[in-house]
Amino acid sequence: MARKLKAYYIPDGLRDLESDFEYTEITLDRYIILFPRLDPEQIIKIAKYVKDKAIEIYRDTDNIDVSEIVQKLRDKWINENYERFRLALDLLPQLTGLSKEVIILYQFGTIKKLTKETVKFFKNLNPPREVLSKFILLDDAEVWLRGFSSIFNKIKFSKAIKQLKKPKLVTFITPSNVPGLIEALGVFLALVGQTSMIIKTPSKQPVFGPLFAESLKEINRELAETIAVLPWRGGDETIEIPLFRESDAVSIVGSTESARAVKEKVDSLRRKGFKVKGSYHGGKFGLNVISREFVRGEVAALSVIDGIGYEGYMCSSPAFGFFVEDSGDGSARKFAEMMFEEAQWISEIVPQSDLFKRYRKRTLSHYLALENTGKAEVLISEKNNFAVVYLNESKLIPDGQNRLFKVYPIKNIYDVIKMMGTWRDYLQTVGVAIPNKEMFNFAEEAAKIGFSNIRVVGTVTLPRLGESWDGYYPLLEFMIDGDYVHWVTINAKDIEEEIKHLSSKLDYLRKGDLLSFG
Amino acid sequence: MKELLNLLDNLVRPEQYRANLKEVKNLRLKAIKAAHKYHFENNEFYNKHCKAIGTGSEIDEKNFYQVLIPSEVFKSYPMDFPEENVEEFVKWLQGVSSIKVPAIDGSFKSLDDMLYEFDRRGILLGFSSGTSGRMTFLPRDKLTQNNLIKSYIATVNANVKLEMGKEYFVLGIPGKSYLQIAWNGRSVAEAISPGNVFYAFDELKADIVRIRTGVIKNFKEKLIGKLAGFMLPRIEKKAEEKILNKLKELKDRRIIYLAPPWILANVANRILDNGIDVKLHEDSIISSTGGFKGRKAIDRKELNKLLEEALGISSDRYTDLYGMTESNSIFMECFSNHVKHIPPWIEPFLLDDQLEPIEPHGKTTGRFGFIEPSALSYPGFILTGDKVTIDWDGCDSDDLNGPVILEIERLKGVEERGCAGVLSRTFEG
Repeated sequence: MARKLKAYYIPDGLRDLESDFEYTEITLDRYIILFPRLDPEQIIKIAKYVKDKAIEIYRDTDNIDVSEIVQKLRDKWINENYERFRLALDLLPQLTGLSKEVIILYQFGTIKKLTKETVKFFKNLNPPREVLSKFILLDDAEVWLRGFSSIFNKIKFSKAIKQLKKPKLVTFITPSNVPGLIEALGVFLALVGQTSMIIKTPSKQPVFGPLFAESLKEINRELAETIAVLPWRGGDETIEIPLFRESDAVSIVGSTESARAVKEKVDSLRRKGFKVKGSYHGGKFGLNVISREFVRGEVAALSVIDGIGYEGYMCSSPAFGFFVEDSGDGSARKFAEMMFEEAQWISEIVPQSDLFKRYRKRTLSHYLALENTGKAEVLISEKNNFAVVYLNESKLIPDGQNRLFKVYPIKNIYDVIKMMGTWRDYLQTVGVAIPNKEMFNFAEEAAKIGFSNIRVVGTVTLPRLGESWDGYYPLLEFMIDGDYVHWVTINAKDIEEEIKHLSSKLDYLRKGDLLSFG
Repeated sequence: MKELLNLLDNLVRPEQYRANLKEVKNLRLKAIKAAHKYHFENNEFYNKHCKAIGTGSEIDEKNFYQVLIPSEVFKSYPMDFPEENVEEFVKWLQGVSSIKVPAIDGSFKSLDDMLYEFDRRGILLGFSSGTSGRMTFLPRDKLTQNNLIKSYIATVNANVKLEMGKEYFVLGIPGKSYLQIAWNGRSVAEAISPGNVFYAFDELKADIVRIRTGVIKNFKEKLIGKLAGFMLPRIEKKAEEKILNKLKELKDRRIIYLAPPWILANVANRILDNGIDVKLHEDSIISSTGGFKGRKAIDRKELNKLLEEALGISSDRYTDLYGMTESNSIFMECFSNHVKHIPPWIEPFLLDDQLEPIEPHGKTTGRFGFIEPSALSYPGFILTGDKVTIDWDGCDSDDLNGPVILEIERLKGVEERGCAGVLSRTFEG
């Protein structure tokens, strides 16, 4: 008999509302997924309820140790015997087309990093003044942070940071390209920010968010009253307008078009006097930069891990490709060969589903057609698990998804920054394997052109708390009305040490221990 | 090759539209398998493309959909202006061609000069362009050109009895151009009735098409673009006037009148607005292709009414066509039910958004792919960017067999393109 699953989560205190829900059912293998069809009155009722509950519960914050709750939640979700973990692993591959191994390595691998230590620094969201002139180390998070701002905006920011206003309700709209991770992040941010939150699930994958919220209920019933996870058709004004009116902040993580549509609604409400802050995380593309010193097998393996993450569809994924320093000695071509070698075994451990193989075929044809001109060299794995394309002229085309790893030679690591001009609105992450001595200078230059995240190779699709996000700073973006500062982070205290550390962890991956990598 | 040519000779015939479905299918599958083997052995790109997905020189019917080539491949050349680096363009072209491409090097003053040189050496490089201005080029040698003409005539002949040498064509397309739709229209019409063809436009240069999409090389082209923006809408108006005069001259005579739909509508409106008497012979055929592409669209019923009132013939004599630069065939609406019959020598596919084939039963919608075995100079195994609805049960209003196309639209996120789009954008004010 098919098992019924809810594509939503509402607090226990709203159970009477649930009996009024009308449902649409979708059958998936052994499951029937129940989608409630919400009406405006119901959404307002839910919003008001979670908001009131958050105000009541967080009134006396001394009694709540959020970091312990975060730790417990994280512990549950990296336990392979946890029932909801197993359920999620049964459902997510069917819903997203991603292999089970991709989900474990990247989604649960990221959740694993959300420890109690990493949330401590959120208690004091008032970074020292010098953060606006140089990178400072956030010790708990092991992240370098720097804010870029005009003089005028620095003054505004200094004023605003003294009047931080904790949001009472955040609407958090999640995307389908990164299954589960953003919903989990929403729950964490709600807890750490001590706010209520309504999380909209992606239409393609509505099950993880509710499962994650149920886990919170298992740990702390009271806090679980401050969160709701709901599905609705993205853009549905009958739901979104009343909900946005109730919200202090609306955050959207999605495509450029979805982000733009939400922005239009938020701007319209603001013009009418509603004090709702919009946080927009639209479509972005990334790339990896490898210095000549790092043209070696382990770095190639770590690059492959970056390319495989969510099959290349995360905002930070190196969709533009891998740019390798080459002084004419063939280093880049060599690196392409190394990636080919390393991808063979990694693709066995982290397999790709047929869906993404088919998607790759579409793009690969383009490069196969170029081979005759001598401008492209295509290396295809025997088992058709991936392809490496070596291109001898650097170009920015964001089509390196579905395990199509594009490698380009560059004379100097700074060359890529000069190329980015027309893409500046779509930049987020540069994955780096560069020497420590270049770290701050490179980050400064990258930041100036629009990048916000500098991540060590191998961690590009494994974000963690403490990092900036599209130039915004998590939580702070809900609390300050204007985005006065472009926040940039480097996700390692010491890039060279981090590369050594990650290289040593490749052995876990070789043994199939996916959660021990990273 | 000989076997393939024999198969094609039997397959691409008007009578196959009415032949036993099973027998046609057998013949088609044999031709497709032979075409696959031929391209696998003679086309470097196709060879690698097939090997990348584990397909060799023999192919099974169930794997046909896997070898479809995204149509974007035919615009994947590595430069913006092929005429400036012909040697490299030839290398690319050779890679995607199944025939020997002549060695041409150096550079040409214009794209048209380059296309002319290829034509002179026996290779037609028909082009089309999308909104990005990047052109699609398909190489056709004489054999594939002849196959295209044969295929078009076979489809028209299956729908209407042509009187070879006696038909008269009024074409709302350029008489001289390497734009594929123009080449097809001219070549087919001239093959049916040599000399009996009227063109509303004289010439359309490929360089002008590119410039009009905003892809320009220098200041001189910027000026040309400005000037063309002023001139071309007037040329279009003039062409409409020329069509009108020609129609008046051919009053009461059976003609085949083909133009993009907005030109059909504009000419009809002029006739009605000015009270001109242009009643065509009742057996005449009116035809359009490519849709309105950026022009103000007119509902089909309204267009039917307009054409009936202006030209005095039943809208049943109006047929819309669906063609692609990558295809060697035309999908023609039948006169009894106005649905586009898929030529029996073409294997159609609909794929879902996960690129899996949709079962061919009833009415289904998906990304359209097709195999055209009569394309010999390049692999006619094409995955388009069109979203198409097919009725696999066919049309029961006439005796033409096979599935029919009910609706065509562009897939979301895929560049708007097509030859009619080129004409629309180029001549629009």
